[in-house]
Amino acid sequence: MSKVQVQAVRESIQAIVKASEEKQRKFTETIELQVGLKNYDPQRDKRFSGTVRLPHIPRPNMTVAILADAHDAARAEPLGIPVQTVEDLKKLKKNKKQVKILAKKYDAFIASEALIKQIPRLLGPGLHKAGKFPTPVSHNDDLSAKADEIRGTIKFQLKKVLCLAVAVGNVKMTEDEIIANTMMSVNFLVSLLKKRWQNVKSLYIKTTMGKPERLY
Amino acid sequence: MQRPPIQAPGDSCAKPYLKSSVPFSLKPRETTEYVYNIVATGHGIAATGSTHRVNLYDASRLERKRTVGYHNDTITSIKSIDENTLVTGSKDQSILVWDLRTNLNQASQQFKATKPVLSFDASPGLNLLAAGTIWDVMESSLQFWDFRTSKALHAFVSSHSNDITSLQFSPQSPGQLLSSSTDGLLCLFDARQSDEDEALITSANINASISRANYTGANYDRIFAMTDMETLSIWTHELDPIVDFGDMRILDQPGFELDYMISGSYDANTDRFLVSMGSNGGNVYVLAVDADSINPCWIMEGGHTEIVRDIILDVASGTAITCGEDGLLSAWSSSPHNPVDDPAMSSRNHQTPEKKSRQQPSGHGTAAGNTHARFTPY
Repeated sequence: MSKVQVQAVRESIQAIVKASEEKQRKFTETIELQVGLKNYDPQRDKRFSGTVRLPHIPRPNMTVAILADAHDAARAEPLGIPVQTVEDLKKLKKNKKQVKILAKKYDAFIASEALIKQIPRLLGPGLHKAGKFPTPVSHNDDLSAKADEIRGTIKFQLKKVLCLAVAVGNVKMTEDEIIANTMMSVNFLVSLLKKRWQNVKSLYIKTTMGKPERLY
Repeated sequence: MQRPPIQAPGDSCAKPYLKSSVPFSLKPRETTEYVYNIVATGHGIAATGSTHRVNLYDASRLERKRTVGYHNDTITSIKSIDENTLVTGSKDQSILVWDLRTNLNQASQQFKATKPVLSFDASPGLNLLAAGTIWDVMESSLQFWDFRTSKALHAFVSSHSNDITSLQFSPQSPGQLLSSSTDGLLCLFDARQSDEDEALITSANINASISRANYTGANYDRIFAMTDMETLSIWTHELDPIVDFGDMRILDQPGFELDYMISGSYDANTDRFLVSMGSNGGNVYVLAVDADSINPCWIMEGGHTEIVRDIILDVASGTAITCGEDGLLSAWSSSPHNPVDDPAMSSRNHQTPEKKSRQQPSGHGTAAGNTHARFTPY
């Protein structure tokens, strides 16, 4: 059972979005969920890290490029997905600097299934190092949907301190979208804790520049 | 992707008897000492605890034999390399080799890593030791040593962008090294190459932090990967995807709660892949997993009260050993009457020849178990 009620979350989200509207910033503020843990020993307890796939994309501006075979290249172009073909990659010839430039140019990559296993051979570990090694797409996959799946996936990792933060949305999203993402993140994170809600000390939600609102 | 439904425990599902349960720590402490990992050796069961200690236990009764030694920080990995050789890796940045024939409490060999060690594997055939570290100062490192001379060789620092959580040399293809990481990648290396660009063979992105990966299947031609999200996927030994089971958990179902995966192992007799799962209350469920169905085959209840961290499963003999965060090691057996395992007998006859003769078969069994543990992916 979730200890956080939708109505309470709605009120908090209304409050932080309103504050963000009153004091406009020169960028779209991200909405962040901050989780404080208790009864958890980072030294001994199991590592707490992973990914959550959210129903609504929290980072719409994230650029996803495709490393494509001929078939996928033809499909990706009309969708406006930036394409790198095998020939493009071969030209980089594992040149570390060139691979680094490619890695920096986009936030994430997808790659045609048939191509993905060759990528380390073509590019070396450059995309690995940048944390941007592609996820595979098959010829049956909807490329836009795959790209959105990547955009909608958020990572979290607990290090030595007992708190962590995840970006669950931005202030341009609708209230319902933000609520859906927040509820999903909260409930999923809690399901991974061994004592569930007894491990949760606090939950806050805030915009990048705004004040935090306590959810729990 | 959705895993196939987990079947209700049927008639073929065994409930082994809890033979004995022993605390890792001799002195009661304010906080319980977690038992992280257990491994079968030629000299008994070796276990690591959260006080950075390695203990050795008799395999059948779990009687404590002695403390093997200490690290200065959390022990993250333990492996049995051969009958007499135990290796441990720690966040204290060292990998220690213990010769179990001596009682010195002193490592026979030491390897110094440049960062806290999370994972390692040794390939005696290639004379190589490989260690994976945590992500620190913008780098995680895969380091290699000459296993005989302790000489540091090359290090790879580009292939992973987060903690390296497990390392396994392929039992089948010499030099092939499998790594998994919190960055979501599985990587295959040819460990005989010293240049990272040449060594990196291929990679797969699971998109979720991987907690462990290992070889499985009759000819070690499969790889399984488990994530911190408790998802499970199976791959070919060349990292082509075979099946993705997704989230393996069953939450909030009293009596059959599967909160996390403990480990995976291959049962050669029945050609099945077994996944051990646990509940937060300490129950253990061994499931036979294939693409179409998941069947519980062992249920071990009442041995633990907290998260179970590790299991040694011997399907052929119907025995298992588990350890967990409640500080206990528990021994299980499918046969209710096993005179060798009778604890009352053993405590009464402390040093009689009778006991010695009894120890013989159990010691032998352990040695067999050891080779099993070494060459069978857990």
